[in-house]
Amino acid sequence: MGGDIRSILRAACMKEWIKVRLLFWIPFAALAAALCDVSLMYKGFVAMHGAPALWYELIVKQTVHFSRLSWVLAAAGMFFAALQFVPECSGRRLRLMFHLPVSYRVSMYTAVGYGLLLNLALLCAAVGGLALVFARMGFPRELALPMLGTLPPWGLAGFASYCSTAAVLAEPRPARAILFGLLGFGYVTLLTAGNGYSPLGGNMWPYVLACLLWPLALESAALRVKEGQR
Amino acid sequence: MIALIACEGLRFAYGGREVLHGVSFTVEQGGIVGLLGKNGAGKSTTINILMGFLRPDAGACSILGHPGHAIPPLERRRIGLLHEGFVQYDFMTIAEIERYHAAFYPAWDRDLYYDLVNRLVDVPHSRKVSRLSCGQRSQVILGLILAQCPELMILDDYSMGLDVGYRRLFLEFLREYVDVRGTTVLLTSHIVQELDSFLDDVLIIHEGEIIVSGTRDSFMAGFFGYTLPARYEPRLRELAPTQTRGGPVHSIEAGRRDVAVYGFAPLDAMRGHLAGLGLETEALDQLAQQPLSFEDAFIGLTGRY
Repeated sequence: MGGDIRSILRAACMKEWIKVRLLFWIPFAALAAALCDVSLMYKGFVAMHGAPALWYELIVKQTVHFSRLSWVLAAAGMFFAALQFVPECSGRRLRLMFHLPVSYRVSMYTAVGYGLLLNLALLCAAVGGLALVFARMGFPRELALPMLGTLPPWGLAGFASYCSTAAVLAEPRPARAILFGLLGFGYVTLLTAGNGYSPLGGNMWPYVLACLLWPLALESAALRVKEGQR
Repeated sequence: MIALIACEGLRFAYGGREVLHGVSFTVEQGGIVGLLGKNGAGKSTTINILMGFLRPDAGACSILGHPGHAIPPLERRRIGLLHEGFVQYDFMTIAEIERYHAAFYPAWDRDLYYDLVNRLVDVPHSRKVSRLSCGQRSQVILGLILAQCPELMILDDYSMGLDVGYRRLFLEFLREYVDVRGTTVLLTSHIVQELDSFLDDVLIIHEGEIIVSGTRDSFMAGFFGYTLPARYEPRLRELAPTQTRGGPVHSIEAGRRDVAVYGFAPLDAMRGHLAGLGLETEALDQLAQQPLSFEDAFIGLTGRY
């Protein structure tokens, strides 16, 4: 029997799974490739310059050798959003969501939640993979933890890039879509541009809270589609 | 009778060009109502306003007692809507799309869906809807709407992409469905030849105005077509340079051999009207009434291109 909220949520999750199931692994593969690259780079650095040089790079200069991961996470946000929202928004399909006998927010935030989980899974994989690389290199815990602390803002950047891409795809007005795109790019750049390890330190919450505004951009874009605004 | 749909004075413009000029009509419970008009007449715009996907510039409409732009989500269970162009989640397979929609509707009739879908020849349920032909996709999507068992069905351009055989099959299926379940159907189409025996009521929209509203039978009983030899066309146009909608002379259509006169006057009344306008007796004697099919009457009303 349909119509109860559990069935509806299950169906909404099934729809998201159907949209992503064929290609969701691509960002994870890109992440794996980037982690291999980081691992090989560290090994090559030690082989060419010796461990003290690497130590100097890591402790004194705090050089982030794995900054490529920031772009993997940000690009993955765009990729997941495209996987979910291109089929959802193209050809006036977004209107289907507004005719379902349940608040459009259930469908929309299930999709966003699903995307958030994918981004989160990728972030966890990045943290876990990088921790593994650091462990294999024998980095001490006191060094590895601040280095790993560099990743959460990048994960947040991935979520911002996810939401802004979704808003761009949903937005019917080109000018607004461009605005969302530029704002998203600015926000992602802000979150990925820090120097050294854990650039935001313990001050990440304001950025997290600011990021929560992004789904509202998506909602406003979707409502404009619903009401036929051009 | 309960009005399930009521529109009053709807006006709507796309970029400054008004396409609906005060559309008013009601749809009462029970039966199949055709909102018919040529391409660009304003059918889909009206449906989009009804369902809250466009806001009218003036006027109001209600559906199941709710303003079109504020239909509560749960009330949408009672409305089966075919979006123009058969828009659907076509990235799902035939089976997945059924499972997805079934979750939203307590009265979902799975057997009915598969009854319709299984009429597709050699199509496994694991095939994506996007990989079906246009007609097959339409069949699946119509099956989804019927399986909802709604009280009110709104089918916007239901015939798009369907071949003539399936259009007939679907209409027969729909007729039986409506008779058995008491569903009310508002359908739009610009193909009218098959609708003749299926419609209970007609709403004919032309250039953004409803020009006929009533039962199909009363419309067909009150609308007439006549012919005169083509040489009388200039004279007719001179005498009746502008035709009055709903008047004795609704329209004049020139053919190669004849000129057709359509209007809401039976033969004697038409003769009297044309005589009153000054048409010569010789011409009046040649005025011949033509039997009209529903399609003829529709063309008489809305004109050829």
